[in-house]
Amino acid sequence: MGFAETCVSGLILSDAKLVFAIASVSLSVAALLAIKYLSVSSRARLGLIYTHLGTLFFPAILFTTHVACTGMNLACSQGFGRLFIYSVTATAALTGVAGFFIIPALYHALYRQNRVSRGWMHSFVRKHVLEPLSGMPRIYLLNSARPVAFSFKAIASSIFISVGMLDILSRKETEAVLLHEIGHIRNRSSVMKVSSMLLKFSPLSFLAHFGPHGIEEEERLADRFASDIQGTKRHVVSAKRKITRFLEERRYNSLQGWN
Amino acid sequence: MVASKRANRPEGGIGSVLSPLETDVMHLLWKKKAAKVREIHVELRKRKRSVALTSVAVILDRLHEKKAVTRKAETGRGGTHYIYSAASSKEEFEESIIDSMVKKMIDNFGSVAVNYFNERFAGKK
Repeated sequence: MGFAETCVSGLILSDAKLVFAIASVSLSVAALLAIKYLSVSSRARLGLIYTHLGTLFFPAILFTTHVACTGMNLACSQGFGRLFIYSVTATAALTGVAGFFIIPALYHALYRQNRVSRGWMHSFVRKHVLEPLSGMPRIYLLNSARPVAFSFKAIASSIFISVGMLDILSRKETEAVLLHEIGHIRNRSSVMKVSSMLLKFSPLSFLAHFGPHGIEEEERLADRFASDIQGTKRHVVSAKRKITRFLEERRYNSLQGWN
Repeated sequence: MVASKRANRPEGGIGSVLSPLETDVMHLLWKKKAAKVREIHVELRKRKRSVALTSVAVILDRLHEKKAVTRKAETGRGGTHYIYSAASSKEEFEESIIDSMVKKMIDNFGSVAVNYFNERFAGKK
């Protein structure tokens, strides 16, 4: 069978393929709605995110696996059952790889030039990296006036903080933010944040505007970590107040228009 | 509506299209050539302007978005901060505003606006 015929036969939705494609997309939509409207634990939310992404892209992976298996005359081309098992495995592997390796690697590559390897921030983070953390988190500067900070622990622990954040916060407030992000890394709650970021890659995510739902507990723990180290909640609270104020004023200014 | 309200402000000049705070920030940048957010905030407070640091940061970000100012991240003793500068001189900025306004009038009123300008300024250098 030539390549063109292989692709066409993969596109032709047999009864079995059609049923699985519809079921897969339906499950994807159900998972998205569950993330949006149900109050679930962080672990459950994490599972729903990967279920949504996996089932959404499953039909495409099913087609690709069919083309590959048939083209290379592999065992998975014999019977829909084997094709299905190979496709599910490929989907799970790709989704996991995307979430835990590809996305973090992309961020590292994009911001490699902005890595902070000296200065007071580097010294401060190194001082407060406590065991059993594995290694010093990399610190990257984001070229943005908006006060943004996030972290994740995937290939390597990383903290991202924007120049805008440094512009509006005092030294103690910035330290509070850095400690907050270290707290996320310690609690492994950054897995949740990165996975939530993955939802941006879903073509259906625009249907449901996501806020920080379901990560309040992680935020609270990270705030407490920062407050415990600093011995006061004052700097965490004032930093959050300034960040919120900037974002609200920015949104208001955008609505007002220029002239 | 917003434009006509601003046009009635007593400040005139760029104050007719910018808010009072934006106008003050631009004047400061023309005077100082380059400044950080905190430096501009300190100057505004010296002039008895009650304004929050975050408000100054928002204004500068808005002005940057509108290409009225440029910024560059610089790392110094106090860490990394944006250094803002006016994108053009005061005269060039005023000219660009006038150019924009005239273009809008011509776009909206067409030949009526063109004829008006010809009759109004014919023979004047």
